Amino acid sequence: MFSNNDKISPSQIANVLVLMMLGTGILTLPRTLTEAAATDWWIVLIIGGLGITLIAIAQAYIVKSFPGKSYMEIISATLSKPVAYIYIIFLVLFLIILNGFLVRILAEVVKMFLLLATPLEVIILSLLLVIVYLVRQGIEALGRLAELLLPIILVLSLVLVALTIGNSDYTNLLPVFQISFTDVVKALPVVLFSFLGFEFVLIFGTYVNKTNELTKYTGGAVLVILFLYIILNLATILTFGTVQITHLIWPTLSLFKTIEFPGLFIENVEALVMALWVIIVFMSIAPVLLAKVVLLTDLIKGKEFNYLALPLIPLIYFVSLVGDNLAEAYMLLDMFTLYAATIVAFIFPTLILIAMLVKKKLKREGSTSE
Amino acid sequence: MGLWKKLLGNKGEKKQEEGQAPHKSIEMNIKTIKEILKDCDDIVYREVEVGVENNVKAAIIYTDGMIDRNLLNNYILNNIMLTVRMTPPSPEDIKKQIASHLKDHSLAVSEMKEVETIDEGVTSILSGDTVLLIDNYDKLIIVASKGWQARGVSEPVTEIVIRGPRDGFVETFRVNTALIRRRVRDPKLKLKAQQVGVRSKTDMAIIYIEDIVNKKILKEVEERIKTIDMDAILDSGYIEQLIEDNWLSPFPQIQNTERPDVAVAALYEGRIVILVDNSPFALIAPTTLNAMLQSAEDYYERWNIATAVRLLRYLAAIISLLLPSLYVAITSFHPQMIPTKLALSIATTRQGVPFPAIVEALIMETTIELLREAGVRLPGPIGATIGIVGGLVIGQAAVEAGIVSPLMVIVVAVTAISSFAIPSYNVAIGFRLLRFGFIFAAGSFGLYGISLAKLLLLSHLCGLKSFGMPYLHPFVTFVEDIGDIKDTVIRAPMPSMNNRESIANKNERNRLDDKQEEEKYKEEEE
Repeated sequence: MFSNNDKISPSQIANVLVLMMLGTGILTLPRTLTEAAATDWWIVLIIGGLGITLIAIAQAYIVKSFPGKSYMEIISATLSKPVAYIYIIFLVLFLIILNGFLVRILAEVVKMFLLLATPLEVIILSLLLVIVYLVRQGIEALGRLAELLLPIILVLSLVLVALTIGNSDYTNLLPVFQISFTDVVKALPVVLFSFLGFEFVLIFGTYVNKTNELTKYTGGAVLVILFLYIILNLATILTFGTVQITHLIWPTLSLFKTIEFPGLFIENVEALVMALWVIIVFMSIAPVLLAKVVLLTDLIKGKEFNYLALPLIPLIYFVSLVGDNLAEAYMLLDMFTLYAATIVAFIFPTLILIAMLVKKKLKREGSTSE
Repeated sequence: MGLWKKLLGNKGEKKQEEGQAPHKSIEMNIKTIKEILKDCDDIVYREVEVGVENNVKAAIIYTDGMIDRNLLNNYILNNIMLTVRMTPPSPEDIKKQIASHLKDHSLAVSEMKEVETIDEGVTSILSGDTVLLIDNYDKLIIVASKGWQARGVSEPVTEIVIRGPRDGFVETFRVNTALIRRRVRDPKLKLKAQQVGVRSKTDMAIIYIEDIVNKKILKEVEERIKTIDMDAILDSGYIEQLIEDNWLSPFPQIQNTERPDVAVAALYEGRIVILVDNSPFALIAPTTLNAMLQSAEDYYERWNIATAVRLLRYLAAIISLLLPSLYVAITSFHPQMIPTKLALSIATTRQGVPFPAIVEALIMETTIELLREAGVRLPGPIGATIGIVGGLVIGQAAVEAGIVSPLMVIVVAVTAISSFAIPSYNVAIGFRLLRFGFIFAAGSFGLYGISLAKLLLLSHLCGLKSFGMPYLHPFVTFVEDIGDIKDTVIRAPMPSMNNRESIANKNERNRLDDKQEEEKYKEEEE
């Protein structure tokens, strides 16, 4: 029989990465970015986006240098085995907490916009169970689902953005070039964190069948996100202006709330946008669970990984209920990403890259001296 | 474990049958066969004596009703009883080689073979062939004499097209293989026959075009057919269910068709066709959801019309899956989505209805499913009537009685019509079943529930494979197989469809004739 945990194509992993990045940044980016850089948001966004592209390509390069090796094997080969064990355990814990927060935010948004009377716990559990089903289908199913959904999501979001043009005020873009260099540097983390998700190429890279094309596709995935963020930010700022944006929790959703189709069968697209958004966020949460399961399987050297999906659900469920309200949950998440995500997405991969390059150089010197 | 075994059935070992070699003496052989076929009163034994001196015994054995009597009388019995006496050499001269002489010179039949075990002979008798026994000869001569009352080739009932060939498969295996062979005059068309079913010994054939087919898929199909262990195979549906990838899925992973042109088109695409005796349905593997939403007519009609029809069909599939659940979600959770006037009018019509929208939807959906099932079971003209009577009368009466709102009746009717627009009956059933799941999801979580149910369904479909082929191909390998999109929601113009889908063998992706292509380039150069 044909298993579903086999190989995915580079384009499929690129689609997975795009959806993961989209899910983390799309809700709040316009607000945080405007708070940090006002009308010069686009300078920061483009610089940050291009920077992330380079980092992502570097990480894809790590995977490319170890074709078919899992993340744990890569770390063992570059930074010794004990480090690998400790780091993978840390990473799994990190991902459980991250997963919990992402689920919580989704549930809060759904509760606020769609299901006012439904308990939060029910929303969270129903979502988690569907995610478990997808994860049990294996990485191939995830890759295919991403490749199926992304074109639809892209087209629909561009159509929605196009519909908001009617309300735009172009003076909102001015004044430009007010920002100083130090402000750009200060604002950069906001951008960097909204691209989180690209680092999963390290975990899923082992399942890609044409590894030599991986760098190209990973870079492409980040650029697609950069393009989408620019479009979305532009539309939001054109509609609301820099001052109003800072007072909205989720400016992107508010943006789509302004769309109206008078005379059509569907007058208010808000609920429809929410339904679409649930799908986007689902696709950014499901890979996180799958990543955990993959890492744990490596850790215990198991063969089948779909049995590990369900036992993780209670942990994620408890984490998702931390924080009494949305504001508290967001505060915790921000602190958490500031420290943990920096290590996971930037510092540790850099260490691997350095170790890898050093080892390569030593090897080359060793072979030339012989 | 014991319960599990009972549920799944006992998987016994395949019985190995030792073949018994025929005896020299004809009496012994007839006795053995009579022993095996004891109490089978439809078997006919006819013993004759050959030669001028009538000293060589022979016998023919066949099943009554399954053979061509005309052939048996005129070309077998006539020859061995009469012609042999009249023409030289006289049997006296060739007494030793009488069997080979009969075989090579006397029997005027086109197909004949010899078998070396009694069991094979018995199987041949039971499949409609005639066994000829000759004294002092330790082999059985089998004469192909199959001929029985069969349905003639007629128009397929389930796949009707306005334009296209009108012939359909029938229950007779040979007629079906001929219908396929007539459309493929290529020595590369391979037809591997075998028998399945321990007791039924049903003929079946795996058909493919050797250089186009994907060898990996072919091997998988052959291996899975080898694992079939059943006493009887009565229809291709048995084989379909015994070799499919995921028996839990509501979606069929093997396509079936009554149309030879559809089967042959699949062969030319590199798929594998399985024909089973006694079944007018050929199986096509591997298949995709996309292939199930296509009709043969799409290729016979001009491309722009075909494209429009296909778009309509995909829309129909979505409507038949989602419309009732959207109605439930919007009326009970998100009335702000629809224009105020419409929301008010819906509220007015639902004013007298005592049930929540989900109960209303379930009542009407169940009713329409009952009507449909009843319509299928009743004889033709009454079936059509019950649809109209049931649909109109019950719908009208239900509204007047205040059980359902008029809008619900419209929703259910549109949904039913949409599900009839799906060309493949078994996919339509899958959507029908899932529709109820969607109604429950919408009734408990509104649009969020529909989104979750959609994701669950898509997760399932993305994990599903048909013989190694992703079920949602080519939508799930959009970037790699962008060329395959030409034959999906759209149907590209015929001249541009010069590549096979990626199901086919990689070296044979081009459909054009190489020689003609070269000549074309030469002409252009000149």
